[in-house]
Amino acid sequence: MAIDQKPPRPNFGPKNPQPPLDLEKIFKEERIDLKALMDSRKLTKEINKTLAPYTGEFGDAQKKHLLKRTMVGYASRHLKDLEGLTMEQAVDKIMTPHEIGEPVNNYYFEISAEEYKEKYKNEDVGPGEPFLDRPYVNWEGNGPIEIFGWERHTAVDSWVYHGMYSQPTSILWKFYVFMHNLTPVVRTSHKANYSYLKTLIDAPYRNYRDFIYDLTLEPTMLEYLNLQLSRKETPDENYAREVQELFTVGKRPFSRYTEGDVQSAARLLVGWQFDHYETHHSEGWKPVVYFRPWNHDTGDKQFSEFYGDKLIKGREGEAGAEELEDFLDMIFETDEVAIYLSRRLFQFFVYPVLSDHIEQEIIKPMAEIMRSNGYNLSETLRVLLKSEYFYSEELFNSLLKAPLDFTFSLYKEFDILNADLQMWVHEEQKQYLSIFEEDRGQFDEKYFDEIYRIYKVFGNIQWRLNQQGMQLFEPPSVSGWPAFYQEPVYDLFWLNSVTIKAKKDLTEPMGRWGLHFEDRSHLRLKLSSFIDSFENAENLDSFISQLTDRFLGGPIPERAYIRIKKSVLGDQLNENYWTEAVTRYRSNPNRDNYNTLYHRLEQFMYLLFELNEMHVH
Amino acid sequence: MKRRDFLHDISHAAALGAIMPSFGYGLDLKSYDLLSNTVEPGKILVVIKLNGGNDGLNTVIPLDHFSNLNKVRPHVIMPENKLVQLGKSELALHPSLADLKAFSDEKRMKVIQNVGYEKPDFSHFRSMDIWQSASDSDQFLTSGWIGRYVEHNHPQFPQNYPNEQYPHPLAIELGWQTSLAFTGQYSFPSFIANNPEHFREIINEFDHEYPNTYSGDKMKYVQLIAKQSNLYSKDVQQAYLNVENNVEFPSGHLSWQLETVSRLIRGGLNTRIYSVEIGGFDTHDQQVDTADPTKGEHARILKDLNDSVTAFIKSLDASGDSDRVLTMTFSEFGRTINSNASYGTDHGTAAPMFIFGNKINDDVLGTNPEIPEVARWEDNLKSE
Repeated sequence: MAIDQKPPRPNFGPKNPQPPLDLEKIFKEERIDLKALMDSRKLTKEINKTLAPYTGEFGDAQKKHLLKRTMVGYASRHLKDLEGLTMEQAVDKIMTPHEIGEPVNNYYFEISAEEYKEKYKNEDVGPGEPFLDRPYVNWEGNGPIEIFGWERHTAVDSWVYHGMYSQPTSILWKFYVFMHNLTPVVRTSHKANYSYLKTLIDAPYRNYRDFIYDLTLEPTMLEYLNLQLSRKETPDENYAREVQELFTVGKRPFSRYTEGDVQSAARLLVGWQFDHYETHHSEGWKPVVYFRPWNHDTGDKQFSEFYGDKLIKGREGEAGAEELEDFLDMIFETDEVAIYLSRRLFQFFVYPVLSDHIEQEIIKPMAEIMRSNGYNLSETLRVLLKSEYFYSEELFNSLLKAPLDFTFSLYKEFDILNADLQMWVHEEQKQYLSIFEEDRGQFDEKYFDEIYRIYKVFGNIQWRLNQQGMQLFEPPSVSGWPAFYQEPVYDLFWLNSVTIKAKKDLTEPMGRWGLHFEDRSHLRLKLSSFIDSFENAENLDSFISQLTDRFLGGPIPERAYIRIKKSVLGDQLNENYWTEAVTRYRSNPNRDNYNTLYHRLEQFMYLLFELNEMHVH
Repeated sequence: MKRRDFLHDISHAAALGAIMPSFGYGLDLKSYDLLSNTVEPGKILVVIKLNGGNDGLNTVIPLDHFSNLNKVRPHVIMPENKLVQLGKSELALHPSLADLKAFSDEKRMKVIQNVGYEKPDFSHFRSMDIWQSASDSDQFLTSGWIGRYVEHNHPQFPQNYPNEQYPHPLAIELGWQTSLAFTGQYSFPSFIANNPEHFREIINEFDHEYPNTYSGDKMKYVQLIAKQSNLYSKDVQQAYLNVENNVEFPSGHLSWQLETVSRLIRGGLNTRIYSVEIGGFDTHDQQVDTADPTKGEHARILKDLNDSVTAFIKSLDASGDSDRVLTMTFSEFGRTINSNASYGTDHGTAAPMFIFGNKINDDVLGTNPEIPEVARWEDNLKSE
């Protein structure tokens, strides 16, 4: 295929992603009294702390706050990981990156090697084998396109989501979400997507300037913001603009880059192209990008006062490629880059609403730290996460959970991959539970295979997340998700009449009969290990209190608490109903005792998840 | 007929009254507005969604093409003597739908043939979306036709509801997913409840005062949203508890939903539109039993449909409410004319719809679908 020719628009086949929910539109239609909200916000007291190191108590409350900001979904297992650590040790542990492996063939349950070969005219890899290094066949102009094939696409999705679910107590994946929101693209082929993902994963731990250089030449970015098709006669300004406005110096009025700067940048950037075949098809996944001197504008590029009136000399031939280095050097000489990036870090990891105090006492010092640390985002964030400002109690449970956090904390706390299977067959009026030997045969053996579970649970999670308004890998625009940047609403975008229902569609089944898995079977809490993980589970008050700690972002209001207890214990609030159910089950986990206890549990678990306190963290 | 025409009538015309004439409801456009209030008992529409794409050709069988049907779908076609003759337009019903014949004889059931749309999209989600949003298959509208109709006539919804004129919710949906038909531009409160006795509102403490802190402010916002999603719960629950079951309903997912709807109607809830759903129509394989094609998966769910709808109508007959209730089925698309070797059928295009009501014009609308002698896989039924 000629280098100029674009492959057809990716079509991920029958498992089409849904279009993203337009949260801004829904928010407008809710007709929330925004003015009242803003007025109320003004009444809230400013937090008068600084970036100075935190020296106070580092108990469960502080640990949970730290984890809620840095994990993809808080879960009690992360809290256990911080046991006995000081604040510095905890932050250092969290800031440590880790290996993430690579996607493998976990789709072999749905498509056999023969079927794959028949469909794509190429050999598949074996079950559990990685595939990104393998060559892909050229698209002949008819039939399904292998480089966009939905099977491997789902394999990559499920690998990412499974990575987040099973993450060690490290910020790596959350930082990835931050980067994904900061520098989004639209996905293309498997190889190109993977290259882009790796670049984002590594970004916080290196010099951001070098990251931007690599990002500029990522095939997905070259395609998304049009450099791939840019021509020297009329250079495309898309990337030239966004690389300044969104990725480095930020928007006006803070940064004062001009339209002239955009035009000069566009002329400078023309000439870079990735090779379709080498990038999407050939062996290995590293992209192949060329600089095309014949398509480069060799004139001088003049920049504005904001950039110190810099003139970047145009160069002929291969030397034209060096202009990109000069361009980035110039950008990174401004003070503004560090300030902009510090602001973004603060807004994502701490709190989105800014103020003069925050600009002076937090953002400015963070920017200085960033400049003197070689534009290393993680080193900068480390200081913020150790500061007295960060541990202000007012910030605890002050954010609405993004869909990723909401969903993953639930899945993690339920240990969903190890869950029992449950099935109700209504013609027989019978329930089958995989934990009982005699029932096990009712379930397909593959349902117990971990790889199959990963494929099903995490391959399909995209739909659930989209229902809540956040489809990872498909951000609504090049600015990312409005909840992360759009003032003055910010995280309020996540919750509206539509998404609150979507969340209830998730929590109610999970609290009651389980997460739908396949056919009529559901993944249900592993009751034995769940109950055992609680201290003094026989006491309902103690049990609910521990559940509150695990799932909720605040104490249960008193009247709601009584209603919840009544739903389990009856109007007379007979504590024995619960205590007996637990003790009986513990002493003899047979079917009757299991069902009695589970029935009690499900009566109030889903109610607990209905509480408003589920939505903040 | 084109699905779009009659759904567009609903979206843009004055009322459900726009489609009533074609069903012989005998009302004119201007005098009747189904959704003018929810104060008094009035007409009610019940929509039954058959999820998965119902095999219309095995549901309503065109006997005038029976020999061709035998040739092109040998794996799923049933013997002619087992079918339930309707005695109209040479149509017969699947044996599982035997009880519906009685409604047809009583002139209370109407069949509309070949409802579908051009440029069909064989994806489930997309088709359901298209159906429910009355869009062209290459457009994508984010709100359903019922929702848009309501917004068009009730732009204040939901901010000023409930109010004196609309004390009860305009639409209620049962089932486990928000169907696009009911999320209007100004999101409907749709209830997903498996038992109206345990309503959500009761758990959240709507009057709890949150402090003026960052966290408190967030909680206040959550409370506001939660409140908006639950405004009607008390009335719905009250209606449900006002009456008991008056007819034996079979067990099953659809039955339970229709049972609930029946109780709400008889209990005095003035909701105008109900939506219920039954799944399992996506019968790519094992649609029929290899030994006996009158049995199998399709037969089972059609029986569920048959039993539930029969009980539903009978329960409304018993309380004298059936005059004002119109019930209709629809599915996101039909199935292929051909059967496949797994004893099933794949996604097709047009399919018939059923309408039940006491005052409908029960003539069959539309002509019997043409079945060619040799159908290629790509051949699909044309919609009218």
